[in-house]
Amino acid sequence: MKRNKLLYLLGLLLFFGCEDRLEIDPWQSKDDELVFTSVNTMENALTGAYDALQDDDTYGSNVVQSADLKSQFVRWTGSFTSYTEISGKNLTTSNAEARDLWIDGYDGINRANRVIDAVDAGVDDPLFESVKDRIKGEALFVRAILYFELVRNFGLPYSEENVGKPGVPLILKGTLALSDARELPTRNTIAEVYAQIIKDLKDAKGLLPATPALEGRAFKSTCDAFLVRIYMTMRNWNEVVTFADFVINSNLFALDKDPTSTFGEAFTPEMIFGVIHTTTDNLGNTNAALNDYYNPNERGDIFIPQSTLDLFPSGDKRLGWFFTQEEKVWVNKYMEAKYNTPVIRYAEILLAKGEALLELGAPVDDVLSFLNQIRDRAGLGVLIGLTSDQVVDSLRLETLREFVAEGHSVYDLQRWKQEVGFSNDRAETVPWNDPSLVFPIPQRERDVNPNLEQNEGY
Amino acid sequence: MKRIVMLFVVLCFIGLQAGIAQMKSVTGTVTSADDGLGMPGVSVVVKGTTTGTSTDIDGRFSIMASSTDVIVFSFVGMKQQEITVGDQTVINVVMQSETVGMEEVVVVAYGTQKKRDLTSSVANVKAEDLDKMSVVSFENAISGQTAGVQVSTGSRAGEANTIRIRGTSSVSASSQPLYVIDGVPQGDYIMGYTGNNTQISPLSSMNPADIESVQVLKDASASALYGSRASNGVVLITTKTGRKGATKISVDYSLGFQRETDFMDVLNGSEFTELFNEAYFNTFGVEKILGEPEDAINTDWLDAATRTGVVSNFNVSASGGNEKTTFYAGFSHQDEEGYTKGNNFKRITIRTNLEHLISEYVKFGINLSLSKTVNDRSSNNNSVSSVSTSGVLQYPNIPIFGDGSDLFGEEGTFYLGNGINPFNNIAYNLLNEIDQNIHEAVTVRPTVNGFAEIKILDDLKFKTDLSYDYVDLYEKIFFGVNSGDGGGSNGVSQALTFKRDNIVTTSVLTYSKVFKEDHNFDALLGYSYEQTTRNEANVTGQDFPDNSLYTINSAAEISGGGSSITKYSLESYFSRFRYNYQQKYLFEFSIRRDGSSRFGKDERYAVFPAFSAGWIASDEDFMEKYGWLSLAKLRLSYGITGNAEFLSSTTNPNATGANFPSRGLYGTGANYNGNPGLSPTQLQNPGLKWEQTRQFDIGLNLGFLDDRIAFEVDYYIKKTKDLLLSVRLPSTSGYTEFADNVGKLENKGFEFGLNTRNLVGDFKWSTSFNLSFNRNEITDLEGQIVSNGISQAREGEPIGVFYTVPFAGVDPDTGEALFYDLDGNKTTTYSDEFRRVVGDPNPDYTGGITNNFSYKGIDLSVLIQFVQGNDIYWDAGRFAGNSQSLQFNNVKSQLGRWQKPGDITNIPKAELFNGPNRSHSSRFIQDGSFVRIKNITLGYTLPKKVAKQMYLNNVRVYVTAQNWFTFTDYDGHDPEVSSNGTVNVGQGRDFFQAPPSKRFVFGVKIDL
Repeated sequence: MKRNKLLYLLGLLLFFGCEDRLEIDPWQSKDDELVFTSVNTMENALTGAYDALQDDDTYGSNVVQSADLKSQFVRWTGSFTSYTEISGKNLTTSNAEARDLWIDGYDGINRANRVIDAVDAGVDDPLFESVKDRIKGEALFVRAILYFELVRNFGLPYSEENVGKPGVPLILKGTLALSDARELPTRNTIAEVYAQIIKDLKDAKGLLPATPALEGRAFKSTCDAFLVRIYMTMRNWNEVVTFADFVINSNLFALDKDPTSTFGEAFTPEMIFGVIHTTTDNLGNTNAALNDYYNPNERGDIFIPQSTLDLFPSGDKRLGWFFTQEEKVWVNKYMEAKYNTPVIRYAEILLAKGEALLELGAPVDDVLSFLNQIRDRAGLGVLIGLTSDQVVDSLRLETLREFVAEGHSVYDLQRWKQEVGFSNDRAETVPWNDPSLVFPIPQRERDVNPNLEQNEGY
Repeated sequence: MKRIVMLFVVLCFIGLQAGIAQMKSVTGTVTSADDGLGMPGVSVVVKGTTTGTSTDIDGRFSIMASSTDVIVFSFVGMKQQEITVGDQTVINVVMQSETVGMEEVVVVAYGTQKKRDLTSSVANVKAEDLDKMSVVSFENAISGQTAGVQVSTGSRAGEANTIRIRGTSSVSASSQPLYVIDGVPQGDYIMGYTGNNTQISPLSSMNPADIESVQVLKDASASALYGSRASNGVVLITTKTGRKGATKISVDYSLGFQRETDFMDVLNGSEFTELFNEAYFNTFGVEKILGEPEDAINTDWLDAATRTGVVSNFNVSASGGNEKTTFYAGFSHQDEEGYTKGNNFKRITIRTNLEHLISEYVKFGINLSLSKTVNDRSSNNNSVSSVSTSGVLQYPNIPIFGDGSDLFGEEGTFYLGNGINPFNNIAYNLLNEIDQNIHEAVTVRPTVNGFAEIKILDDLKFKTDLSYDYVDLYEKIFFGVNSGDGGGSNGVSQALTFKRDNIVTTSVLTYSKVFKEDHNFDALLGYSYEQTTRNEANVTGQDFPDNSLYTINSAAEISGGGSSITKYSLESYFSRFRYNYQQKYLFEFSIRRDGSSRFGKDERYAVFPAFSAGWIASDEDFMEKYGWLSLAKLRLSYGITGNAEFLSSTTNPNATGANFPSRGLYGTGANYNGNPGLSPTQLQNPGLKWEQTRQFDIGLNLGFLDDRIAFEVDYYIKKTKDLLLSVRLPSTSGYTEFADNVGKLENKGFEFGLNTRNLVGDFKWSTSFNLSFNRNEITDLEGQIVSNGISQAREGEPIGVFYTVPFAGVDPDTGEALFYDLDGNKTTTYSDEFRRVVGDPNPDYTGGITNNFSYKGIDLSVLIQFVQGNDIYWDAGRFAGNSQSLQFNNVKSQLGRWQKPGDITNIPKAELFNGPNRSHSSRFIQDGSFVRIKNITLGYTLPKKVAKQMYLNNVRVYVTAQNWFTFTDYDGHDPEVSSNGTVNVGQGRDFFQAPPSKRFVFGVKIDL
């Protein structure tokens, strides 16, 4: 009988449940309200914003790769429909790269906005005062450069006739509640977006330290360098010179002696801003890193055509960027997943200043002093005594050579208002401001937000 | 209580005393009415005592009994007989087979019930129907056998199958039924490492031979006692138990072989050369780029990478017991070679089910099982190293091995290049991949389920059980140093572990009583608590010395790793009342209250009631004149069930239930340059609650001519509301979606079942036929569209319709593909604006027909399964059935391409890289209807006398041909597709899914 009684007891015990049995918290996540409670977790959220830059749909890979596929200096042979469409300049509104740049770009902007909002709201932590400016400055920087990639991919190139045309919606507040998320914004004009980017970068510069808090983080000069790039896009030559001088006079940067040493796992003195990849960020077989596409030992979808090689004279040290395998020529800037993505190199600042001086009508020798730094480093002879027309050609050629396969060329051609070619075997070209060079507003977004106007040509 | 027990003891003692006085020996023989032969192992017991014996090999017995005693003769599958001893000293008994049909007892939620008394819709599959099928996992055996149940078989051994009971009743939550094994709900419908593309069915670790019966609870009344997880139906699996009597030992061995049911018919080297030359000319204007077709190399990659796989299965079981203790023990060993080289499945299972009566009032039992599965998995369908993909896409004009030439390299080494082809085709040399790569998954799964049942009063019982189910899965994945996927990193190796434990405890109090003979009443009150924990860990390394050293310790670099934990719990109270008057008017009411950790405090609990009633009209006096009508029963039921299995993704085939869907979360993993990062991953929705399904069912059972003809029909309407949906948000918010309860959908349909015994006597013939029609419609989505590629859930349409650009054939003048624009005009322009609903993956009807014949010892069974009226989106066709995409090898049908003006064809001119046209269009929609002869089994049972001479009870030899014939117009590998796993939006899309196998098996089954 004793045993029976025990069983009763056991059974009866099981009848009494309690609420606690249903209280389970996640292990890999934190509730929203617990994140901005200390400086430590706020720093984690800021790191999360940089992580958005490293995403393969933004600076992790597509900011470079999609831009490269828009012009004639690389060749695409892969099977992914999305890239094939970019290469053929016949994107559909469901193109996955366009869609993902939009989604992941705004994801990063929200990550930055949440940090900015949290700094503005303040945190009850004794460390807060000493870090709040830097944290906010870094978040503003992240937001600015993501808006820059969005506006130049989804909007027409910046020009007098285009500035009033639609850019992208400007969202400057973080999303916390469902009601915020369900708002349906419209597209701000290209001018408005550029104005915000410039404001953010200038604000960020004011808040940031002169040297990075951690490797790969924003500081004053990264803001200056991005402002150079943005004013170049706007053809605002005076401002280019101003901000290029800030970068040059900081004395923090120099051209690498060996141009092939710039690309890899470590930042060299030439790298003003790059996106850092560790081995775990993009595994080799996930189709998500630049090396998957540019390295013939991986997918090997993007190679360098003879016409691009022909741009380089023999003896140019930059020919060390290329190698031949399987009867094709490849670029070695992205050999492994852990190579950093170069975003702004010092070479760009020098060439930008040269170009700005040229446009401002400065003496040819002043322009050449910047161009020749690049030529000299490449092991090419310095140029002297050129006409200003010859300097234009030399400067443009040097720019195309210097940034081959770094996602620059389409934007350079657009700035020069030159025709843009194809990265497949088609020999035709399209005008610099052709709508086919602009991504469509993703179908997905227009399905959920009818306020978003579609781009021309889609 | 104590007093009552004492009273019993005293009474028994008195009875015993009285008995001893007038004992005599009673002997006799028990024979079977079927063949007149003596039956061994029949239990012979004096009623109300523990005195008992069982018959010997010839059916003889001897027992001590008094003349007032009643002797009970019982045997599995035979009608129990009770004979009063009287003055007899010799009692010969002829045992009759138990009439199958309405008297049988079926397992229902938390109990059993006579089939006759059922007021709900329950389908029953018995062990003997499962036994015929040569399958790894029992779900594969039930397709075509029950009305209202549709099974799409996962193509590789052990893979999760898609099962739909009465249609798909959710958009973004799971639509897989709840499995309950011996009363223990199985929380998972798929399992395995989250990052992996193809997951494993939790049922694949179970030996089908251990299963006694499978009940499918289809309507709300049958399933509502499982409350929040019952919307998709419930599958109750009962394992075998022992019966008192002589120990029965049974051995079953089978050996056979398997092949794929079918592969696409691909171009050979010459045909490819011809088409490619033409495509290259049409695209680039250069002729004969690959030379003359007749000079081409011919490699059949599909053939080279496949084989005739040997399958074997060994089962031994023992069962038996005495008055107090019964047991069943089973052991099995299954060894299958897949038809794909390198794909193998091995499983060992052991099960012991034990029951013991401590006293007349207390019973306890324990079910123990252990299984180990070793699965050499083949690559995922979307992987280029998969045979069903690369076997089709790879250039047929390159060799497998080098031949010593400059072009193809050293003899005997795998050739990895493109040969003379000008483009790098992404397909791999499959033989190299098979040689280089390893993908082994080892699952060890012990389960323990212990219970105690206490008879508090004669009518009042209490049962409590505790079950623990542990799954340990370890996967080793290695892409070799010279493989396509791992070559770039000098070999990539992954080690993955997945551990899941599930604790369930249930306590049930049942009361049943007959009042005044006519009022049958029973009631149940229960409580249960479940908790499921999943632990995962993985590590990835790269750069290996060679392929023999592939564990992570040999990696030069650890390139990735992680671990995670997640958990959820469910707490429930439930109750059921049944009442019937004269077993003629039947009523049932049940209710369950579930609380889940998955929802926020406000919406944590929900109540699920159900009601049903039945009327057995044939028992009414006024029906007596219709003697030919043996049964007429009308059933009605209505109930509410729920679904909380909100999937973490609508598109990921391996999405599991999201455990924290209502919270606003920052997730880990947003790291940058080695610094830990957090990022917003989920938007909060504190109002998130359960999905709710209301189902009405009306059914009629008819039996004619003493149930020789049994007919069953059901009509149901199943309305689901508050669908758990990932509602799309403008991404400008930083979020793409959030979890909400949005919209409604509806399934309604008819189910027919007809079982007839056409011929009885020496030559027996019986037929069982089932047919189901289900219509699914999404009635409201509040304007949302849920997309998974071209599959969509849209208002006013059935779930998962194909939404893409309509193809309008080929321009006879130019050979260009044409599409319909919005006005219905043909145009060469391809635009997403033209998209519309162009196909529906849901079948018009499904069903099956089984014919069983037997004559003397020979038996033959034929099962035909059919699915009619569903569309398949042949996603693989965009690559391999596309004359405009000849950078890949294509199927033979593309030879019919347009060649010159005036050609009338639906296949455009041969081209390369024709981007927009390779994009989706209705050109790749095909009729997915098929008829499959699922199973033919021919058996011969040796005459008992012959068996006895061999000192055996029973010997049966059999041959089974499974999936041997399939009739379909579908161009892909096989029409039974589930490329997108068990997701709801995405069914019927086939991206190179590996076809199921067909097999031929010889076997022998011996009862010792």
